Amino acid sequence: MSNILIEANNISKIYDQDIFLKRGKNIYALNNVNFQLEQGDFICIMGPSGSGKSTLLNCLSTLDQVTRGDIKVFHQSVSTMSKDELCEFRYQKTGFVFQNHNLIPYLSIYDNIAAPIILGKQKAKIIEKKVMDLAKMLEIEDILDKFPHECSGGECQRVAIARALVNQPEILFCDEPTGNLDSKNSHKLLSFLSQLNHQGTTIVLVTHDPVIASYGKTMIYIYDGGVKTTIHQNQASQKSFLEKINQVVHQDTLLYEFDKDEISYQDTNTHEDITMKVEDKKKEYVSRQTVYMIIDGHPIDNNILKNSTPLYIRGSHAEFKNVRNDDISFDLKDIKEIKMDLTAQFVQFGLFSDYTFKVTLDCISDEGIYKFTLKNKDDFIDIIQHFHQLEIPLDDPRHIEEAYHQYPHDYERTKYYRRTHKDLLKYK
Amino acid sequence: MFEFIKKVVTNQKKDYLLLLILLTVLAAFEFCLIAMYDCIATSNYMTMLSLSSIPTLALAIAVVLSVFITKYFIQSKQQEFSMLLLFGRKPKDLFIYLILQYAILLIIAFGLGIILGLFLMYAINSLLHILQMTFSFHFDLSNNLFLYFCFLIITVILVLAVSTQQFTQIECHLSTTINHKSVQKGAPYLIAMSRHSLKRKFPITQVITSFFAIYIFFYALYALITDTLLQNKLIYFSLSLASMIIIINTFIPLLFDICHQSILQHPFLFYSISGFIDLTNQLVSIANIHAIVVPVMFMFLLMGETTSNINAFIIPCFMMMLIMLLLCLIIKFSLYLKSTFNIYATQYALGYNQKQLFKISLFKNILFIFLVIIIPLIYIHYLGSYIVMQGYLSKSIMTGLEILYIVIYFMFLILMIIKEKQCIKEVSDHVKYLNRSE
Repeated sequence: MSNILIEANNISKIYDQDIFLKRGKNIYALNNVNFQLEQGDFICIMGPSGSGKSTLLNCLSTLDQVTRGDIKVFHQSVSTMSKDELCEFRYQKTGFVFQNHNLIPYLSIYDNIAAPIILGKQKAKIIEKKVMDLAKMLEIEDILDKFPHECSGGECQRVAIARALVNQPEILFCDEPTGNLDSKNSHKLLSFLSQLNHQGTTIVLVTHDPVIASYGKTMIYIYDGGVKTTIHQNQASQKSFLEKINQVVHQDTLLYEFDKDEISYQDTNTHEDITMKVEDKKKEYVSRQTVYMIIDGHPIDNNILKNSTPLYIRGSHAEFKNVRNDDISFDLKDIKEIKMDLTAQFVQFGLFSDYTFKVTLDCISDEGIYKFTLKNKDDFIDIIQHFHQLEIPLDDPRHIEEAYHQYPHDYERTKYYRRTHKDLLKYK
Repeated sequence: MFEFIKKVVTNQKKDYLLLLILLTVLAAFEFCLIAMYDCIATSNYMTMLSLSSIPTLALAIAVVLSVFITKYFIQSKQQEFSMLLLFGRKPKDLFIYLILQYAILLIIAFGLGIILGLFLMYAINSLLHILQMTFSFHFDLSNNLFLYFCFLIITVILVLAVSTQQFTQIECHLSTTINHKSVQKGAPYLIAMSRHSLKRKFPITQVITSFFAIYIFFYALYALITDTLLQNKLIYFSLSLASMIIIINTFIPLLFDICHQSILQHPFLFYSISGFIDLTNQLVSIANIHAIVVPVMFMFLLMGETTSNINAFIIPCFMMMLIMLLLCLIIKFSLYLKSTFNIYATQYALGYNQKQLFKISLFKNILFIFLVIIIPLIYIHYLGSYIVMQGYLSKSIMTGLEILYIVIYFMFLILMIIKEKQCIKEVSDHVKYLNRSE
């Protein structure tokens, strides 16, 4: 098993659920976003205002619920976790640095920093040592006996960071942590975060500033609720990583608008395409991805496609974006065997609730296993036929192919599965 | 200006309606209390002095409450006023803008207050008749209306004074109010023994004050039980309650400071006590009124002669005062509640679950109710029994008043618990309170 800490699969977020009734269309704060956070990652989320950066951070940190899709934290689906379990997860594993400090006004700075560890009922001496160490590190030891309203914005921000770190969290979520700091203090803080990251703390940071994002290892650029670009630093220097980030961000800055105006003013037709092609050869197949398989030339269900990650099959060539938003392609001829199985999900439709079933595929190749959960419904039979044409051996212990022949419609087939696969039916 | 006011009122209908209801209730109470005062103006000097003091005291509370509501109203409109100042309006214009809004509201409220007041007087007379009392309130309507009008003028003058002070504050803190920040409050408690950044120092003043308050409390309690003279008992009663308030305001924060290291190891105790200090800091004015008003009312009672008419005055005045104090508590509490959303949201994000937060808020509220409401009730019960023994009030009336006290404050306790529970549930369901504290 890999060291994936958080994984988001096709998540969407709509704040006003009734907006569809009011305006006839949904307004997505997040639309079909995939995300994967591994141990030791330092991911910076960037994007213009209102693009969904903070929403994504809130959803990933389990503070907010997604409307569609699934988030797994430490291999456990958030939807199956109770509120108490989520609180325990946040207490044990995460630290938060909020946009506007969120310090408790009637507690002293010392108490504010100690707030998360108080819950652990630790000895006062241990609490004091932890708080003092952090205070020294962040140079706030002189304000420990003040109250938040007596401190400056920068001081409050450093207190918020100390509070986030006091529990030694595995994952640190930061929402614009340098918003109130000057450049010197920002650099100090980000170097500190980088140092923490080198020591093993995983960091997810939301920012507007490309320079701040360049301290990370990966930059995800969000636009209109969807992931537009992902860039990995890999072995590149911070400076060249910043240049790459700037190229992506440039498309949404005023500078780009100036460039466009200049081009139209000069009436030039030689406009060079500045969109960047981001390549990442790193491929990992350990996590199961929910996809909608589309065979070239076959009809497409646009309703399913709208909220899914497509996997295109052109002949024997398959391509999709993985949860890390990397472009992945492989040849189906390289697949030695496909294992088919079913997964059941307990779904509520208003007053009613029942189980629905999805097919899971494990495509075994020499490189690894591509794991998929399919959103395809009645058209899956075409995909099976395609696999047969390519002479890929299918392991089908649950006789899914037979069920598709016997019950071509989803409703009847689901009823059949409910009768025959009772071992899958357990409330989640 | 009128067009702007019209738009503001239309968009904030609910707030203005609530304000109108509150002002109408207060105006109706003022009308009733003036009518009661008018009824005894013709009695002999001592009776008049003692009995008229009771409605006068209640009347003073009603006026103070009207001013307090005005203050709350202006505070809630700080943002609007500061924006107008920013757009280039002069403070004088704002003053006119406020007077136009508030004067209309006050006139409507006082108009409705007359109707509601007349109805209340009729209801009070009917209640006295049901209780088989021979006394009933007969007042001169024209005289009553004149006094009522005078009170309207006094209220307007006080409102003008308060609004001037508020506008000065808005002007001084313009940048703060525009940025949604509340004007800074003082430190909730003094950090002395629990200091970390500087050398710890012994809080000598706080210790002396606390010991003095504790000594006074127990001395007054002992004297209250042993002294046989009712007038002395009332003095000890006020002394004891006043020292209780000092204990709440000084001794508990001092304990929190001195035992800080030990309390840190008990999260519920830590958050409940720190939350309690914050709650009492915000509601302390009500607790003060509470500790002063009741004994003073009884004191006035004892200054006069023992007549059966006392019961007729005490019941409605006590009821109206309790309702007014309750209104005051509810308004203050709703202001306090607004500030707790962000705090609970932060605690929830830090890993405290709903159950733990409920527990913290419950403990805090029960501690508040015990110290600020139940202890005075025990005193009132003791004092009440003594007054009944002396024949100033009948036993049934005293029991009725105690039941009313218990019902009203029990309702408030329920409201506190439910509202905080809703607040915790709301913040755990919606992340918006964490990011924007809205």
